Amino acid sequence: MHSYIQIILGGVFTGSLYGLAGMGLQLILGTTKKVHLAYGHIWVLSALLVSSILYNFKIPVIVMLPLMTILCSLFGWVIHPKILWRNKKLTDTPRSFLLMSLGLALILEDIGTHIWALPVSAVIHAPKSINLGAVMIPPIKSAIFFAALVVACCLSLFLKYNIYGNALRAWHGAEDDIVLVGVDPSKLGKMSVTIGIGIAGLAGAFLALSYSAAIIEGLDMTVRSLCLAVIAGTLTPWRVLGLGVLLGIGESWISLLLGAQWAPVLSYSLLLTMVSFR
Amino acid sequence: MRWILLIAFFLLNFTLPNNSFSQNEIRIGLTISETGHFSAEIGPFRKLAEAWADDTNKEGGLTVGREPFKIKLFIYDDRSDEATARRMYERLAVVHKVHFMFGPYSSPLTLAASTAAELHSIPFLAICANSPKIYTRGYRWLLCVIDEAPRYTYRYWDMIRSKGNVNSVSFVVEDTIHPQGVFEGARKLAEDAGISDINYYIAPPDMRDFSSILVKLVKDNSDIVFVSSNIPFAIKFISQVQEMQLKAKEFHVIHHGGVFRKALGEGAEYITGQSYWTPGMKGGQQERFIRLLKTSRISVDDYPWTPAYMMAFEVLEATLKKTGTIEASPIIDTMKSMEIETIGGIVSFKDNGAGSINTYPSQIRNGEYNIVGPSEVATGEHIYPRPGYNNIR
Repeated sequence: MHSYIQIILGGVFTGSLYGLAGMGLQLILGTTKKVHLAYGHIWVLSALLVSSILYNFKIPVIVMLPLMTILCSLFGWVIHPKILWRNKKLTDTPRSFLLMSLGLALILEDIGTHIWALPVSAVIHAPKSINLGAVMIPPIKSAIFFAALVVACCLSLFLKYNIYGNALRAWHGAEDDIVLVGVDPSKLGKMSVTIGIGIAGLAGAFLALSYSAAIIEGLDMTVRSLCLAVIAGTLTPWRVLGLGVLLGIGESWISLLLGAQWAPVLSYSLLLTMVSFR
Repeated sequence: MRWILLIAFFLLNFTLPNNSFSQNEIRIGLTISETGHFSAEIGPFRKLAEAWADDTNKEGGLTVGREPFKIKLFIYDDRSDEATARRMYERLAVVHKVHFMFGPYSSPLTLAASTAAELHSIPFLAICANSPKIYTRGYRWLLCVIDEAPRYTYRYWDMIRSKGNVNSVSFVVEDTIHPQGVFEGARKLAEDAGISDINYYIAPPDMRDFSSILVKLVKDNSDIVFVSSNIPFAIKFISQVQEMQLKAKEFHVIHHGGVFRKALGEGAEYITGQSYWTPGMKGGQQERFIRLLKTSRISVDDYPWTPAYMMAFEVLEATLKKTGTIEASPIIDTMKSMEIETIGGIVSFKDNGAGSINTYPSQIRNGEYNIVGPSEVATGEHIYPRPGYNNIR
């Protein structure tokens, strides 16, 4: 019985991390209708940065988490100028944004390879696990789950009750009409990527503290987040998080029953199924 | 028109590769995975190769018989990609007309690159490529410094057999070519060492949550948990082992270097692994190797494959001294017949071209690596079981 609880917990923690990152990408995808191919690289780069900072400076983990979120938000704000959403050529063709984000991904991968040639991890800075009977609860992974809940709650409230959140949801629904009601889509686009990439920064900090990171994993992380964002469908953070957790638990059970080598099949099968039936 | 021809003349002279042969010059080619997924293993090794070439040329060059030959090195980035590696080795053969090739990193790249050497009849010394598939093709021009993957851990199992009190082992295997090859050999070696209770679990390289495997390992309660994987996988697995406080007398990983140790901190203590070399070993050009590491600013802890490259350089130096020529056939025939002392031991070659160099079991203690077997090369004692083993669940 205890081993089943441990497996479910393991799946919840991993799935929460994917769900957390997935929420950020879905916000960008759901509002701008553009796929951001550099998202995973930013996620991994923030993990690498957290590892390096914690290795060289005595900064408490509790400070690193919001610090990385803010840093990544600022980074997102700076590297996504309004012209991305004002220029007619770019707004008319999602492929242009796709190519530009791919270019950014390659640049970030090159920079990451030069600075962090080797994989890094900050797990040694994470607190030790708590023993509850025969079940081990790692505090930092539990924090991922609660952080994901908080982010999902905040995002949902923001999208539902905040004027800018309403604008983001409206933009998702009716792209051309938003301009007619006096809303500046470039401002919305910048806001969307700022928040989305801030969430990626938070996910990266948790990634460094729970697992390890290497820059070459960037594209894999983008694909994983994209799978979740697409499967979840509409702009609903709770659905992304829920799917992420279910995916994590599903992968853990497949690993247990069929063998770990079959676990990755689940997410891609789900994606193909959802895309086929939509 | 005249100006165009003049500009074209200057451009051709300064941009095309200079393939003019200098007297007493040996042209050596290789690729390094400076980008791509193998860059974490050997990314900065261009500096090592160049440091070796510069150091040798400062001393007058490679001794071929009695004549000194300057080294002219040609290095390309294979981008950790087989097709690129093949293309670059073709270029080394056709454009640069190299006399000798060192192989790229990894079995898949070597499998591709060695075909270029075979096609153009150029001696090719593979370095970090131990998949048996490479050596089943009957290639005349291919040799390798290291032994085949199934024998990668034989010294570790010899040491375990001599203990006499190890009854069970559980393998956790990363589902990629090299770890799988090492695992297959290690399983057989464990059986030969008298261990009958053997379990194994295969996992994809990007796995993050090992709960399903850890739960089975708790049930197995094996004496040894043997992780056959590359370093990123090993870090993720061992960190979760520590989270779950899994009990085992020994954890063994086939690849562990400074990255592994730094990532896990105290958690890496007493974990055993496989090393080609640690400071304090005897044989070969130890001091020169340390000097080259300093010059190229590469740490052997962070890049544990540097000794294999040094051994390859030593093999070439010894061969050329004996052959007295840079002609291809004498080089490869002489190399095949030699036994060469290097920093990692004696290098000799089997009929299929595979080498004799194998790793030694090593253990991390107080943040440093100690070779723990066999006794003639050991730099420290093997601590088994791990301290505090009886205190955990």
